[in-house]
Amino acid sequence: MNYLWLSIQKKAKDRLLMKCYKNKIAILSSKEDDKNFFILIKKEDLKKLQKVYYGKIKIQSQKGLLNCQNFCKRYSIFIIALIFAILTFFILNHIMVDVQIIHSNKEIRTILESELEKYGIKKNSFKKSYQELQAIKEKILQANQEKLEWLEIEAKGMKYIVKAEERIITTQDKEKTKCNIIAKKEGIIKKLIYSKGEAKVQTNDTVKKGDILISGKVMKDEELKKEICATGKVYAEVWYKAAIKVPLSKEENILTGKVRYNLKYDQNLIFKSRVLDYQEEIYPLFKLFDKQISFVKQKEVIKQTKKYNEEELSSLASNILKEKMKLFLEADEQIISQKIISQEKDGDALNISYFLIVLEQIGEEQLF
Amino acid sequence: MNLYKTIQNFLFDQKYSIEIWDKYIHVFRFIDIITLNETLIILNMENFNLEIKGDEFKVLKLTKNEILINGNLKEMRIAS
Repeated sequence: MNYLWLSIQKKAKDRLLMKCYKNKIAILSSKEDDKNFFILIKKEDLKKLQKVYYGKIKIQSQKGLLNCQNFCKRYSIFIIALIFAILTFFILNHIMVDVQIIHSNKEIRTILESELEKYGIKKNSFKKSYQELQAIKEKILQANQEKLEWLEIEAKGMKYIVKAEERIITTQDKEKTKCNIIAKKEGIIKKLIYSKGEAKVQTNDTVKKGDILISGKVMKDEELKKEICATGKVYAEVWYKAAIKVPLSKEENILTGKVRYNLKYDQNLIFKSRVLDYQEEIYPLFKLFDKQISFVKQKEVIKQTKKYNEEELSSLASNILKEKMKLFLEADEQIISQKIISQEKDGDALNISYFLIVLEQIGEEQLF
Repeated sequence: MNLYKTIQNFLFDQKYSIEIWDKYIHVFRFIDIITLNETLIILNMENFNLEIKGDEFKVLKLTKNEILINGNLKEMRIAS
């Protein structure tokens, strides 16, 4: 129900009371001060009163739902801001934006990731209570008894920090008591280093795959004295053919000197970039919802295509070859020589075939 | 309506009521207001007129058949 407090001049109060009574307007309460007389009536009676009473009626205040409605209207911005603040506070308090799994083993991390996701512990999800986390922890440990020794799920700020300890089941290696060192590929022996066993090859010997290089059978006067596990390294020249593709030209970025500034939220630019091609310098500012906000300096560049000359091409090809071979070679292995066998132009690139001689460790253990 | 009247009659079986407390006068089921000012209030009841004399009368509540008055009561009279 809606009610109104009205005020009229005090001298007219008797007339007003009579008018109210005659027109069946209920006066629910009244009060007065030195000058004014105040009455409380229902909102719907106001029109009736205005029709029969010609004096000045002033609405003093409102009561009931109307008052509530008016309050909401008057303080709408404040109320919206308050609701927004409460919602934001709730979200900040109850939403987890990241799950950080701390473990060096990728396999363990993958297992944990999928297990946690199964139980609803994932990015941008509602926070679980301590009891729930404990229960999930127990379930994961139970399901991965062989892999996990210990697990801790901690809700810190807006992210879960998951720490785990891998269960290491120590299986004793089969005791290597008797073994030979054999050649794993063809080559010409260049260096032989061994601490146990008997060398069966010498420097400059050509060996095939599977040949015994260092034997675990120690002989004396053609008689087998003892059987041991041979240990050592055998380096040999190994020949390779390698093909690489080198671009004939490259794209170069030339700075124009034009600089524009922007902001970045994680990997996305906040404002539209005003330069087409640019090099950027990133200055991290602060983190919001676990994502980095950075200040970005965009330096405009013009892309130009430059053709390599012969010298540059061969140097580039050589570098590419070295980088590729690095992936296959150990630290103590190296390219001894390289020779171009053929060159063939293929559109914007040049196919080069190389003949390589590499000094490589070719020995591997073989039990007998 | 019969049911309503029966319940009403059961709960309040008097034709009218006049209650007087210190500085307060409550009249229920009057028919009409004849006079209303700070010193004199005349109410028309079913079979008589109720004259209330005093000073500083203030109407605190007023509905169709009920009135609550605050003031200094000096005299109350039933006039037929």
